[in-house]
Amino acid sequence: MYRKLVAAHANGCCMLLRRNGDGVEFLGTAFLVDGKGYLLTCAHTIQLDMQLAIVPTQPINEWNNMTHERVNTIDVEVAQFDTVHDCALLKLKGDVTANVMPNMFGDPNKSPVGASVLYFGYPFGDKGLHTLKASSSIISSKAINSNRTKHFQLDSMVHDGNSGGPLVDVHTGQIIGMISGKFNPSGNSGGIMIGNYALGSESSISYATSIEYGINLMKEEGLNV
Amino acid sequence: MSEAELIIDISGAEEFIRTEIPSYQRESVLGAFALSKAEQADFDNIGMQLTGERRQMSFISPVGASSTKSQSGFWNNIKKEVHDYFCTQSRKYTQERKRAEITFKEIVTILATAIAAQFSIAYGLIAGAVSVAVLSVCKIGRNAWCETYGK
Repeated sequence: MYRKLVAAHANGCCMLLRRNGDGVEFLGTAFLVDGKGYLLTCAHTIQLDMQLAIVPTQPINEWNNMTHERVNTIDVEVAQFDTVHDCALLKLKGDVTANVMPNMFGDPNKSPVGASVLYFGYPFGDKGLHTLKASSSIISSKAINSNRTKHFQLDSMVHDGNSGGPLVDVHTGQIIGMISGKFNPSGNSGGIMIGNYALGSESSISYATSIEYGINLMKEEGLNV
Repeated sequence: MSEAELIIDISGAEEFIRTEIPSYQRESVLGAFALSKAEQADFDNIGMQLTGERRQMSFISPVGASSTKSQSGFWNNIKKEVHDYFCTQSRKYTQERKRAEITFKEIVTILATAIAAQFSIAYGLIAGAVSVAVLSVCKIGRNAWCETYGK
């Protein structure tokens, strides 16, 4: 059931990295949204003073190395940066073009609770897992946070690295959201940390920001959406 | 430069914000414009939200890689440039400082352009945050702002 959707969307996903000296550091996931080389990701995955790059995904239906010791990168720059709705528009540097599927965006308002969805990303990319992961879930709720930002609540667990990945409505085959976070039962009240990991912060409830904010950035950039 | 010598015309600030700041940042910047009797911490809060260094309290934990969770200090870079312009006699802004009167739009454009060039980013990405920093000088008062900078 999901094979065609995976084949349609997986190739547009990329690992998002930043340059750090002679090497690179993994930041999250991004996905192509325009033939002129624009990508969307979450604003929280990047900082404005970073030198950013992407690594295109490996052919999804081939047996791929779990971990890359060396990668071929393409530099990107920040075009729009919406921290209120946690959305950023990036652009491949140089005069490049990309193949993107037509009519890729759906109407988030028309995807009901209970709808089957697929999402893509690179969980644990900073820990060495460099294969694109296709995951399935359902829309378990529709929520608005304190910023009045619309989120799809998903009945699944996401991990560090998933941020910025596309959320696809299985019924329409179109992108309706972007993975952004997970429900943290301890909120921002701190807790016991082991390194950067907060104990008790996991849940099987995750969130995807409505794609309308990404579309707004594309319109702000002057793109035809 | 004394307080009496520096005249910043902010009469056009609101129009500048409404027309030239990216639409998704306008509400935040207008919030800073509307602040009265505000302290630097209030402007720092808005500025750092615009640069992505501070997020509103929420039960949603972001799932970017852990390396992105460190602070970049970008807002401090913006304030440093604002401090250079308003509080020092550095050569960088000598010509601009000679003007008896300058508009809000002109100051934001000058500073945002300088910072954007320094970090090789687009002007529009930081125009909102720079506007908030300049508003903090206008609202708090230049002398008071310069005196408390970095404290």
